[in-house]
Amino acid sequence: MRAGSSAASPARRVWAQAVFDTGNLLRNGENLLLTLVIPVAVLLLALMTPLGGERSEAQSLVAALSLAVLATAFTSQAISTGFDRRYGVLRMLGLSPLGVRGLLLARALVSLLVIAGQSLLLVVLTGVVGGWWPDDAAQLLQAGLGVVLAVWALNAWALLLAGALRAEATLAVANAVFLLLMFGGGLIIPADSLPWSAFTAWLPTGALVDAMTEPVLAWLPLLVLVLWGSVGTLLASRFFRWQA
Amino acid sequence: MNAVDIEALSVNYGAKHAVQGLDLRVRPGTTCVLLGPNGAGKTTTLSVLLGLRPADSGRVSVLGRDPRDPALRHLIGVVLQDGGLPMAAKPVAIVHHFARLYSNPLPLPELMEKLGLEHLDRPYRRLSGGEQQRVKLAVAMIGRPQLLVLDEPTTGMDPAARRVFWTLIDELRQQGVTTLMTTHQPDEAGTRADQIAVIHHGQVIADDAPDRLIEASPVWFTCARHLDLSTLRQVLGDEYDVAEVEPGRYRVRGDVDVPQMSAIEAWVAGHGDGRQAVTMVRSLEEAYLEMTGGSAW
Repeated sequence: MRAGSSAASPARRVWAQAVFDTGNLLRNGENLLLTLVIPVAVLLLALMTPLGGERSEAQSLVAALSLAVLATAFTSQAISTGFDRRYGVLRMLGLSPLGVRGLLLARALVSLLVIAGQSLLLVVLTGVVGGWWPDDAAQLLQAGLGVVLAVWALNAWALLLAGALRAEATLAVANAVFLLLMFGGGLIIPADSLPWSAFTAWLPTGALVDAMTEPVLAWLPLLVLVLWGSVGTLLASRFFRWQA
Repeated sequence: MNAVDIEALSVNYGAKHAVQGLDLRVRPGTTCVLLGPNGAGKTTTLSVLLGLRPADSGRVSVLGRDPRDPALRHLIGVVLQDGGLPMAAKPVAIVHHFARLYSNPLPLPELMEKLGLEHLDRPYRRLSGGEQQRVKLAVAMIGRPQLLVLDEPTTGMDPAARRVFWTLIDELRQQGVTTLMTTHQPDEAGTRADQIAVIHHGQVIADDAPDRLIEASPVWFTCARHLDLSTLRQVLGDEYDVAEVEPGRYRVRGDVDVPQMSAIEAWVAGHGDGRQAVTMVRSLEEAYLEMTGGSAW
């Protein structure tokens, strides 16, 4: 048991943490319900029943995918980080070679990995069940950029919640925000059916929907996401506490 | 260069002085135990050493570096009282994960076997307190650290697990690893540590090898009969404080060396009923209680 190991490379440490966290998330039943079952159910209901209303297959896919992004990058992230903070897991990981920055990068990578899986599943389901496949490369690129920016913005706000509130309060607030945005943020109910439709474009979820649906180059929704990300990052770096 | 070098460390929580002017030096390849009542400042001192909390004043160096230097992270193995591990993961998955953060970790099966973790197939949250401590210890050791900082690592461990723990610490010491730890088991520390620092009210009030600290312990003896101590006081002299602290349990304070011990034994044998052996007791726990005034916090 000779002393004197060295740390693995930064990329390997971050990747190892992301894989470990992703595995833990996928083994968590409540998390699977939130990040997989609900978005898939929303997509299938929209594609196969009258509940979808006048929505096209593409619009149904965008709604389900935006919901998946919200569930993974915000609600799931806030809850898991809040409880990890409460149990001292963040402190232990911060003291390991991973460090604080590595941990934050790994958490963002977890969101991106899970969302990549969700996207693939939802696109395949839309193609198989609804018969629609995305074919506009420029639109796909814009949608991808929108998702990445939304992950950044929603992660920042999730960390703000998790790092400033008690774990139980984080759980309650994260779920409440999820429900509010799901029904009032232009996801389940189309934004133009809502009385506050002009306002939804300024929400992260509304901006994400617009980034995926508006013709290239839709700079306004991308800018809105950058603003949410910047403010969230600023507040999280100011108010996040590693110890409960 | 010392593994740990603390000079005049002070840390305040608002108006409360948690640590005030604390000095401590730990030589490389040794085992140092911090003893002290609850709230004495032990955990706060470790928090500063680990870069978790800034010092209000004083100088702190860990392996020759500032405690907040990220380069220290792979050189230090840590067990924290409130530093948890992923609740839903199983021990082998947790330790395996931490192993992947290092370029040359210890062989996992060997470490798991040494700590009796190889057959634990339950999530971390379902383990007993002692089992959780052993997993934390495996995580602290997996990266071949140069320094172990352990805050009450034996809490919840049964005697057999504590014995394994100390055997591992001894093995690591032989390989040049420094250990700085806190514990509430003074006598256990007294037999295995190289250095013991007693912390009280945020200051180190004693810092020496266990044997030397034990010499400061009062001597205790028991006798089934009530003894009239006035003649024993005459035998020993005025510089010794002799008292019956509880019925049949006697304490002698002062610089009691071998001739005095013999004199006390002979006196008790002559004044007791002669049927029971007299046991003279002197321990690190007694020395510790004497130094801290028996304070529990």
